[in-house]
Amino acid sequence: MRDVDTNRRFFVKNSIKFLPYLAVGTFIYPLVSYVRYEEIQKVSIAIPLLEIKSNITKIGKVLVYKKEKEVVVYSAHCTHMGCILNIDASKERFVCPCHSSEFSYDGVRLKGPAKRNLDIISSHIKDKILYIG
Amino acid sequence: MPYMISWITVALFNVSIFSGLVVAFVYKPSLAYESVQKLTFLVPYGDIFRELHYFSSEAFLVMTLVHVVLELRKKEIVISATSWNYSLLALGALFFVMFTGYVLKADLSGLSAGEVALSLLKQTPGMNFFLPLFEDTSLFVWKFYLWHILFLPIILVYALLLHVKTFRTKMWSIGLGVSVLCMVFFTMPRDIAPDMMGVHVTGPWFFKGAENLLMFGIHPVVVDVVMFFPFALLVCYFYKPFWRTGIRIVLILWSVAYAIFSFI
Amino acid sequence: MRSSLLFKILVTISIIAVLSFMIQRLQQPVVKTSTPDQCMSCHQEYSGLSKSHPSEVMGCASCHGGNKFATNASDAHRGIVLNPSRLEYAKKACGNCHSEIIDRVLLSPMETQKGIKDVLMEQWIEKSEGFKDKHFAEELAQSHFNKACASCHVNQKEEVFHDQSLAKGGGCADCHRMNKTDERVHTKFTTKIESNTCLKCHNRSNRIGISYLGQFESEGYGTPYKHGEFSNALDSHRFYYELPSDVHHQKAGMDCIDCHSEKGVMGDGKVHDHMEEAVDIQCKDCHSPKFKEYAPYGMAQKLIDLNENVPNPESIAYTSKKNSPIYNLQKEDDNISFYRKRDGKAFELSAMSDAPYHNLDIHERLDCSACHAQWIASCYGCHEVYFDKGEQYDWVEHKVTKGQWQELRSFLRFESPSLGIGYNEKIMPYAPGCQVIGTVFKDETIEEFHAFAMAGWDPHTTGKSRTCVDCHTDPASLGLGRGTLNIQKDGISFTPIYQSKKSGLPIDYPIDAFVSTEGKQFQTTSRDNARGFNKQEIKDIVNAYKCILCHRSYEDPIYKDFQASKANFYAGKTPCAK
Repeated sequence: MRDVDTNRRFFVKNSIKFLPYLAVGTFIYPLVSYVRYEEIQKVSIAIPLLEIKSNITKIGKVLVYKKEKEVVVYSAHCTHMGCILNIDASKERFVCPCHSSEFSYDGVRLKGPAKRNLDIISSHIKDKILYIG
Repeated sequence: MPYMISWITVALFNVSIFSGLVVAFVYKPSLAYESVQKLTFLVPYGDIFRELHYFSSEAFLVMTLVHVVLELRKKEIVISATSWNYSLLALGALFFVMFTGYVLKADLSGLSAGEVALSLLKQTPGMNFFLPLFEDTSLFVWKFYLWHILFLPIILVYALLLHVKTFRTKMWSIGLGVSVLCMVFFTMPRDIAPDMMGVHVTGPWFFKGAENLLMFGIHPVVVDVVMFFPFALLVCYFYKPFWRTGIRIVLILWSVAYAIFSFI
Repeated sequence: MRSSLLFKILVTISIIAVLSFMIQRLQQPVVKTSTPDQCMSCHQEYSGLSKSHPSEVMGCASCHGGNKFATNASDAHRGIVLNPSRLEYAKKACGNCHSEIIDRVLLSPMETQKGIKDVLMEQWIEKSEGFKDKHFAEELAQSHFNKACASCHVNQKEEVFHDQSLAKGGGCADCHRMNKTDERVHTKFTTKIESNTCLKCHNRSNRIGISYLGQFESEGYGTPYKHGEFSNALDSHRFYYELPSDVHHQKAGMDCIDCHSEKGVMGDGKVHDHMEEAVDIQCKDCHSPKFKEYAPYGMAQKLIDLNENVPNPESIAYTSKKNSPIYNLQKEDDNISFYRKRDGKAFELSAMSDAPYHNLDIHERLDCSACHAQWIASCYGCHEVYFDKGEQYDWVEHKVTKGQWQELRSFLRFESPSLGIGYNEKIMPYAPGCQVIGTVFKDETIEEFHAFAMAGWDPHTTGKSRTCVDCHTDPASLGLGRGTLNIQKDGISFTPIYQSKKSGLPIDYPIDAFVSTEGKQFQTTSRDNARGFNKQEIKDIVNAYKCILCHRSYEDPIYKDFQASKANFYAGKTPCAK
């Protein structure tokens, strides 16, 4: 019985010391949720087709390739380490400024440390407006 | 004078903070690259303050590393465990504050570095959880900005105070002098316009080795371990006196290997 | 605590460093800033590209790149482009406003040279004789193209030309740049492109450009010698005779741009196999014009505004091929006016008359140029010699590479253009296009090949029509060649003047013979539907002489209703039928 008494006493005596931490601890979960919130940018970018003047453009972080019959949208992130690709019109390729990976206008990886082809972002055209995402 | 190197290091930190406050006046995260260009070319004497901030920060990093090497050469550790551990926290925070500063200039190299960092985070299992702390979908530099001017300085100052006790130092003028001398004798790397073609960008010099490892196809988790390794060693250094000589040797080998990888 | 000596030294050095740096820096003047970008703070003397590209509004960096904020040369000029109208930069530099034009130019034959390349390959690989190895033929054709043809394209590098006054290329600047001067002024662009600019390139091959001006490339003597010098020089080694120029030039001083529309020249966005598919304008577009009202904010209005010399009319003519506005052909009430784009001078336009010569259904198949081309530059027999050990400048690789070509010609004629059925299935003037006799010095062997082709085109020597006898009884016009045509009861026979074999040629027909009297086609063409006259056609054409002998002029009543007259003849009711 003595041990139990001692333990209970220990608990009561020291609870003042660690209860505050417990109280603060209840903030941890809300804090994590708070910090982890990110605006879900599932909002489509809507662009009237006529505003896309050239057959290849970079709009923000996507590449828009207007072919004769369809429009393909790629993520402009290089599939190697994510740097944003540049459009090289003279070579008709997308070139990465970080490690010189190259992709064709069809999103196929041509050379460099990147291994995968470009990610295609879903898009559709309605009433002559391009919706990306 | 004892700890002269250390106090000059603190002095450089002071200059960095002061010049950082000055450039923060003009820096606008929503127009990051443009505001940096404005600062450099249009705002009267803006280039002085930018270079002061750049060189004092780089010098601070270099002197910190010199300080670490010098301290490791001593036989005894004269500081407490708290001071030791917080100094390591400060060192880690320092690398990150330097890195986020590099991203903030928002030129092609800065933005690409930021993309690579986020990519690294995404590809490290478990770290994906913390992605929203660094990634902002609508304004790329925003979270980097918060880390650079707020969270990391708070951590850095808190940790450094527990290591150094005060930031007041007689060496403050020497800190300023060293920074100005750097401005005179060295040139800051030029900004690369975000849409410039045909250029090859690299990251900050202290992460060059890691970048090369990534370029050779080494898995990001391995690279994370490699970068964290010296910190783990330094923690052990305090608690395992018996291992100190061995740890020193390993640290030297690691540094040489990293340097080699940086130059490939 | 006593400060150590080292501390004192370091502080002193620091103070000196900071003070000297700041004093020196404070003495430098504060850089004056300017709008819209900092380029103008140094380069005030540069105005913009044209009235529609004012530098006060657009700045410099928006086209030329570089750092528009920078106020020192090295930072500002990083990434700067001297000629942003070069097609590899144009998309970025001009693309915000003009991107669809650049996309079109990139596909147009003036940049791709697709027709030249395709025809050269087809002629030397498929339609030649003498090659043992088709791969070698292809290699040779590619080498020939690179060294002899490829200097002319819109995006050629200007710097590589020794004589800068003859420099070609430069992207948009190739056509739109006004004359280069030595002064350091900003390049000026214009839409009123001078004909001489077009002639930078369009002075070879079928010689259309120079023919329009009445210049016929001659054998090369440079005569008449004037003051001891060559005269009438096209360039350092080519000379010309003066022949009647095209009536549009003679009478109205018109430039190429007065007819050739923007869409026809810069491309319509499609890849065309041959030049004529890219060309937009046709004779009937002006001479039987179709007028339409034009939209207030469309292309037509833009062009009129840009020109500043032509008025704003009720309606303008449009091309039938590609519906381009011919904004200088205008109709106000019932008055039709034609304006020269260069200066807005007005001219009377003669509409195509409905006289019998235009309406006879037997002449349905004639292209305007068949009768109205006064002459065509006929360059017979092109001797191409290849030396594999020689070296020559390659216009694609931009360096000297192995393989050297030399070009020598046989003889030149201009009168009595041959006729044949052209790419538009109408009868038009024909001339050699091209007749290649090749000698190839390769390793230690000599190989020979030849590819003889005739081609039809409008030589741009428009003038009064040819006479009836000129086409109907001249063997050269029929495509038989130069010689004597004997018309007998049972048929025709032809005695040529030129003896190919005697002249050392590897062909058994005269060099200027497209077809034989039997309608056999000796030489190839480079279009599927282009050909010389067949037997029946030759017979029909020659048979007309029987009428023409007496009924020489179109005033003659039989031409008023020719079908009725013909019917009468066959029914035996006419005097000649007896």
